[in-house]
Amino acid sequence: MKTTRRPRRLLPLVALAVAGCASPLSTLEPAGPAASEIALLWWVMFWASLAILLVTLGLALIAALRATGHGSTTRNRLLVIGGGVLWPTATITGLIVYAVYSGQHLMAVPVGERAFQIEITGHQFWWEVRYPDGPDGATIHDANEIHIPAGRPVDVHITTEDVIHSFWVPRLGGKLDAIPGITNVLRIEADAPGTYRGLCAEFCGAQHARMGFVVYAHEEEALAEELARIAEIAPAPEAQELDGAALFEAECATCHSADTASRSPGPAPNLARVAERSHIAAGWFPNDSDALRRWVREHQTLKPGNLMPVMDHLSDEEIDAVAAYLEAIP
Amino acid sequence: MSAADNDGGRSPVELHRELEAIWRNPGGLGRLTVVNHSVIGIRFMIAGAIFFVIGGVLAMLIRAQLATSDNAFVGHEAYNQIFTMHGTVMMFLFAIPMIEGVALYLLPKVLGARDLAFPRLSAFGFLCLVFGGSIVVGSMLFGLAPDSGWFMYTPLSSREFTPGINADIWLIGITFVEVSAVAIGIELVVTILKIRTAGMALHRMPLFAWAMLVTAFMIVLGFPPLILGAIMLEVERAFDWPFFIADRGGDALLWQHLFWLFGHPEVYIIFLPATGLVSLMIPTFARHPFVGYTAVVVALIATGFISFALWVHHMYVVGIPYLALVFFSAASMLVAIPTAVQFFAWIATLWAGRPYMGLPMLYLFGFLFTFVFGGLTGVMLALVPFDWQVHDTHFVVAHLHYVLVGGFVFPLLAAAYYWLPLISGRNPNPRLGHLAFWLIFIGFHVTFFIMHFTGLMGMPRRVYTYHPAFGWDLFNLISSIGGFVMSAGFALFFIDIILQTLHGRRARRNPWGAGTLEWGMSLPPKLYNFASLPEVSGRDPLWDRPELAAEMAGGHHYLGIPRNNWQETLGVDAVTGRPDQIIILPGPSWYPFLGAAALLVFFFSFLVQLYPLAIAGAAAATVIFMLWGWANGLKVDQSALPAGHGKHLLPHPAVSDPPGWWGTCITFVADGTLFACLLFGYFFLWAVAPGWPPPSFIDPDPLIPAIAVTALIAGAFTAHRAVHANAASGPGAAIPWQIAGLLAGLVACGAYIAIPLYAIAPPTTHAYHATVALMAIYGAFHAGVAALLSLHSGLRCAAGYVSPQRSLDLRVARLWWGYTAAIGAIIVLALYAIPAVAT
Repeated sequence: MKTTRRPRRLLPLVALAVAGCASPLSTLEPAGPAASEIALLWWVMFWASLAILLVTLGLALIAALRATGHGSTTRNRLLVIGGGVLWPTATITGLIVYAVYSGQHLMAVPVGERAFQIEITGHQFWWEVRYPDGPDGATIHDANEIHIPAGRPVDVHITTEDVIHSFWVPRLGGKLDAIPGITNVLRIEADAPGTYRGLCAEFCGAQHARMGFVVYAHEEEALAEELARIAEIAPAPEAQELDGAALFEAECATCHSADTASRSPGPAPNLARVAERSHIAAGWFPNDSDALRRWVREHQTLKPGNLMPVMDHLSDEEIDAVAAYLEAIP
Repeated sequence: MSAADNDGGRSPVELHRELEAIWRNPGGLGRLTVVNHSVIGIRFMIAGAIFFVIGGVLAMLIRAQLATSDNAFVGHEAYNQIFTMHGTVMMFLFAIPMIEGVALYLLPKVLGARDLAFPRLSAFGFLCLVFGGSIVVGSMLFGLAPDSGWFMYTPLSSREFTPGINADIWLIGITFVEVSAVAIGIELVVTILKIRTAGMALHRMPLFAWAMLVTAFMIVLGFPPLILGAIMLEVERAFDWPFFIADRGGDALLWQHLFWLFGHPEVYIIFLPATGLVSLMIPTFARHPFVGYTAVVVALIATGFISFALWVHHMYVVGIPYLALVFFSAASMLVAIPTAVQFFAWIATLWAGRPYMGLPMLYLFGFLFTFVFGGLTGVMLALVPFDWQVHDTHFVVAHLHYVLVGGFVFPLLAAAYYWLPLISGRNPNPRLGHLAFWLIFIGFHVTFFIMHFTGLMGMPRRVYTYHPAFGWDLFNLISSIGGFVMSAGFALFFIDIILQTLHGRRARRNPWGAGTLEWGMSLPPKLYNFASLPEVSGRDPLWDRPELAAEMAGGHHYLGIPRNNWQETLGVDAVTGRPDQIIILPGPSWYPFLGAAALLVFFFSFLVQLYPLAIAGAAAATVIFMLWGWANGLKVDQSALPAGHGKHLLPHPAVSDPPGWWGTCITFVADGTLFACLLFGYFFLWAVAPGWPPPSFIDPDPLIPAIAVTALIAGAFTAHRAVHANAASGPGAAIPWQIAGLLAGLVACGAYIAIPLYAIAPPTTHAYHATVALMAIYGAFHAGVAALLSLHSGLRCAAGYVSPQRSLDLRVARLWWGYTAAIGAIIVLALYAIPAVAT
């Protein structure tokens, strides 16, 4: 994967000057048209507000420190009408026109076949990902990682299985809530291939803080290859680690699916690709060689309050076997 | 006994001694019975200050936890309780009670009155606040505090995802506190409209009174949506009626609409009174009458109206169509105009005068600076696309603190120093106050300025920890340091206020040289405020007539002659300020305490699911409120009494529009708002919620609704006839009508209860059935109260409290019956006609 190319260098530079340091979640380092539009809106409003602040407070200071008691009634009336009514009216009108214009083309308006479709379901405290248009027209099931095309609009269909969440990739665009019983559609787009972090923005309970995800934007061909590869990930019919497969079936499969062709039967992420994800626990802990084993052993310490039952009854060998099984899924 | 013993030869000293005896408050356990507005106002303020300190400590815990990434200071369980409680305590237990306390204390004094319209009601409100607040805050001691965020979004706060008692504590405790808020709202509206001194027409009222009038109306209109929402959510949690559960026809967004219908006006309920305080202080320091009075009055009213049209700006990211959002966006920005009008009116006043810098002015500058800042970020947030990015981030946290601390706390600190001499009779010493200001001011901006950027860099609100790779460490550390500096400032402020209250130099009358009436009294003020109530002819009475203070103290104006051991104040025509009655105020009473205690039994038993005890508490409360109502009025017809300046006025039980009448009308405004919200919920679910249509509709058999409506119309007719019978032939003739009314009310009550029992599937089936049941219960409740009012007023007729002259009881019953018949008919229409049309 290529490192991110940032097409709009100027605004991030100003951002850095003000902010002093960078974040992979910064709205001020936009990497897509929607985020860029809004970042520009911010900087326009920032400088305008600074000017308004200086003028009003300057007036207040002069009034308090230099006034001599000879103010004419006309001038005072002018101050109240001009400063209180005319000035804000003009500013606000301009701002509304600008914002309506700028917001209009951020909406998920139909763009025909061009928009890439993706379905997201929020869960306490992870993200279910589905690609409705897999290589053979079948749905691909995944979790906590999202692959999208670069340079092409993406329609994210967002809903939830439990409480309200909010889907947000700050560098690609605004956020939209996941509401029970409703599917909302958010339009995002990445200018260039790269890795973008996302998170849950609506308080959703114990581990709201650790409900992240990662978005990978690819060139079109790379994306097609990636999706085709994901679609084929399923437990091998003759698994090498028989012990692990049986254990997974007995201990994990009531909630987790290990096949990208099927949805998890319970409120738990699809584990078919878990070994090759960059993070575990919804975009939080780096997925190093030991991460999976540590997770099964101490997940209530690592992410307390998550909904997975404690697996204390498994021995270290059994955990090893399950982990090896998941790592071995092609 | 009604003739005044007018011995004009009484000396001022004797007059004050006599008034003091009449207005004296009991000590010991009797303190629980005190109703005087100065005492109750101070109690409210002290309670608010205590809750502020609690909320502040919680804020420090938040800043300690967020100071570094991956911090293990507190876990998610404690943190989620802490941030929920910080918001809850600050909004419901500090800001609102503090504003109410200031208003209860100050309003009669600036309006030239001796007390409020309903002194016992404010005492009752105080106890509801203390009881409800104690339930909420006390839960922290057991680790059971609410933890779903201060706006309690469903379904996170529903039984399924918050199975513990935590959410119930919020819903029940805060509803208890809201009972207090609505009571005080009614109190303030009627006080401002009726209880002023002579000549204080609406256009001469101090701007603070205008701000409080608008605010009090906003409380009366703004709290019912939340009360209704809390009732619905609590019923859902306790009895599984699925109002907000999408699988069964409910909608989580209904909660958000109801919450923000309250929640946005709430912001202005907090901010407008503060602007009113600023508008009282600025002319004093400018040494010039207020410039732009009329413009500011219009601005206050406009703000009140607009504030009810922008709740959706808290819901830009829930998926509402863009065009609708643009409307709310425009409305949200519109509110900047009246706010700017106020701001420039203050500047114009300073400009017109020769300002001097007292300590309060320093805090007022802190206010101007901070608030303008918060207002500007508010305009930014009102822009839909920008909000899509920063919604639910620390940018919003920064903004709301700029608005609330800037727009409320700084004016309040200025007010504390400004009115300290009034409350304590001692002068502030500016030295510690200056230091406290700079610590608070610098600490505040260090904490919250950088927080805008923390939010822009992607940090959501309400996270108990964050990843070191996210790059938020430095910003959060700076915010935490600022937070502790600010806390030191507040600690210093409290120390300073306490020290000066105890040891400050004695203040002389009117130490700032102000023009408003509250400074026309000796310091600290007597319980009766003024020995006589002046005739005012301008907005700054003490500047208009410097000798006024001495004249008032000498008893030369209205009601300067005590009689009958009555606590008297003037009632005026709401618009012109012409005196039209003498209000006889109630003295100390046990009813407020007993009523609040009965409600405590009800709410607490409901909380711990002892439902029989809860019913007993509700029954006890009903009896106590009826006894409370019994204690009003006079048994003898009255003739006009001398009021001073050659005027003769009737005491209030003998006039047609006593405060009680106004209070009843305002109560219906609150009740009607709640009903409108209930209807809104019914139609909203029907039109918007997923999971419709329901499995079954109401049984269209017309028998039950026919009985209900017939009984209500009959009851309203009896109540109407009772008024006429009394007017024509005396109270005895009204009694048979009231007995008929009692029966009609009971029949109607039974008919409405029959609807959920016999005409629909169980309310747990679907949100449709739950809503129908709730509306029927609303009808049954009102019919039941109507029956009780018929009974009560009938008994009052028999006991001699009613006569053709003293007919308030009968007219209140008639009003209630009329309202009940109207909403009862609307309920039947909504429940029976709509399904017939829609299916």
